[in-house]
Amino acid sequence: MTRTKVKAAVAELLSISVGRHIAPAESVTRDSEPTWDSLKHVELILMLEEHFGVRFNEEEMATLHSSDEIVDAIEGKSAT
Amino acid sequence: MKRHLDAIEDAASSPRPRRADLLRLIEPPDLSPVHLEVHRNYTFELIGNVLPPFLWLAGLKPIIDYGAYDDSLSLERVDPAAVQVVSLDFERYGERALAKEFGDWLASRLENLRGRTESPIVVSDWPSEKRNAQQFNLELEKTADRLPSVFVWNISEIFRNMRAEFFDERAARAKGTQLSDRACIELARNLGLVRLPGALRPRIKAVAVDLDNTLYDGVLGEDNIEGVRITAEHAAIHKELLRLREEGVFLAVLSKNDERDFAQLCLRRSDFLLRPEQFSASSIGWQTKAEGLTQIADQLRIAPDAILVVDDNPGEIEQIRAAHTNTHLLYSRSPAQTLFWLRHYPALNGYRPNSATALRMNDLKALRQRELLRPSFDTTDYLREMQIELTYALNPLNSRERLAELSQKTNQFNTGLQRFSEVQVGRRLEAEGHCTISVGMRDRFSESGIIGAIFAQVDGDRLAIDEVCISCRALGRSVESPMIALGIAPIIDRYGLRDVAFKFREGPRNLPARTWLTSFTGVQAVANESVVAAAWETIPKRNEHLTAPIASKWIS
Repeated sequence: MTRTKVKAAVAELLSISVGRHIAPAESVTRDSEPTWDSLKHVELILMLEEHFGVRFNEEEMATLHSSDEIVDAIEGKSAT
Repeated sequence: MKRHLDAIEDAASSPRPRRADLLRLIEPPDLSPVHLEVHRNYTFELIGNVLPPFLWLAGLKPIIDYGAYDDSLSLERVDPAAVQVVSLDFERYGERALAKEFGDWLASRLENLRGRTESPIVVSDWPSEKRNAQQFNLELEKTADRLPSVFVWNISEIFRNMRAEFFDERAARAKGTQLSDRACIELARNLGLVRLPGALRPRIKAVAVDLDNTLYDGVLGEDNIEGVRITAEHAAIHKELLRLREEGVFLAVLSKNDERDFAQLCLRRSDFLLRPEQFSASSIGWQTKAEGLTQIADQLRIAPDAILVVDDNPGEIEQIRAAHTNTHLLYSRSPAQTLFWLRHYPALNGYRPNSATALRMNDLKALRQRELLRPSFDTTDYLREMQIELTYALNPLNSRERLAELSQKTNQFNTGLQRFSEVQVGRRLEAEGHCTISVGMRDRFSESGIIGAIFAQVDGDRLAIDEVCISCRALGRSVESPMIALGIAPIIDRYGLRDVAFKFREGPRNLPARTWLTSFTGVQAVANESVVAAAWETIPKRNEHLTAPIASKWIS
């Protein structure tokens, strides 16, 4: 999957989580999105795992603070 | 709008519903809000967030109030809610949960909650292979049987079906639960489609099924008996229908076909697992399906809105919808879909088998015999010939559920239209000065079980009757007046009362109760929201009622 496609899918799932449209090119952080709370974060991770067929451990979950970090992490997992 | 609902149905019935697909769905209009209060010690939100689409299909919009994470189930806050959900992660209690006292502790917490709210309580059991957990679940079932309107949500069954996929301990601390994402979604599906509608909605009483391309592949009139195909999925549908029948749901055939062909199909195809006598009603012929449904409702003596129609023809589904707005409709798109919805259709699958319906099936068979007998006799001789026997019980604690069911579901013969919940009935059964009387009936043709209830209280020298309800199965036998007179006479004697006073509230269908009230009391103008009072001594034909040729007895 290309980075563009990963970014588009992450943006779509993030839109569901935070309840507003997020464009694939938009860079979003947990600090900048008030509705991106810990519960939404868990739910986002579950949706990402389902969509991309990857698994995150507890430590990884805690370090994903932005849409860019999520895209990087998924690309990293897909490459291995 | 219809495509929108189809999308929700597709997502809800998917073999593996996905969280993102469920969260993308758009809420349909015209839902009834339902307030749920959740008492929990784990992140129930992972279930609650995907609950709405499932409840939308039951016409409900959940508003969920989550209590604090509380292992002690202190119930500090119990707000008014349509349903109280208690769901605990029992693994959090470690060794303590293995002791017998742990079950007693939960029972006492449920008793506490029961005492503080009248809404149904849904409590999840313990999904575990541990032997103690299974014993604990049995005790929980007993507690739920003992307390009114407490229902066990047996998630242990879902655990047994999913096994290794049920838990996902990876990142359990971050998630706040050991449940896997898939388990959370399955639990939401079960809660939203089956358990909550089972606790909140009146249960569907009958399933009326089409034949062609529904119970088999093919058209009986064209492919002939040997030519229609019965796959393993069709056989599973047959078994599912038989399971529902075992649980007290009537089966009916609603089909444009030749009745003789259907009889021959049942006779000659051993892989067709249903038999004509298992259907309590049928409309097999060339009238419209809407007309056929009216006939089936009449045969079953229930309203069309208590029936689920299963049909593969969208045109006929729409035709039924136009004629019977509130009838439940299941479009049989494929055998797999039909099977799924027979297992999950909201309010079709309840918590407990409905024993009253099993009696109703026998009563329906007896109805025809009674009708044949009727024209030959006057009322007194008819009653004598019917060999009616009434069994009364005063404040029968073990009939609480049935008494509440009568109060909730009777539509034609209910004087007060009070709609007592099971909790309210439970309180009346134990309250001083209240007299709640159950009436059981049998005649020469059938045992009808408890078909009547009188909810009364002693008020000075008056018996104040808040509600009389008689099941429609018992109507038409000219037995209403003797039944009620024989029920209240001993109470009036025991307390030396002078008057009887009936509360009356008008409903859409309780004209028979109003007509009876006029005839029984002699009061001509029975107004809505009134109390119809008369001196017991002046009740017209009182002695005639008390000496009618009916056997009666009281049991304790």
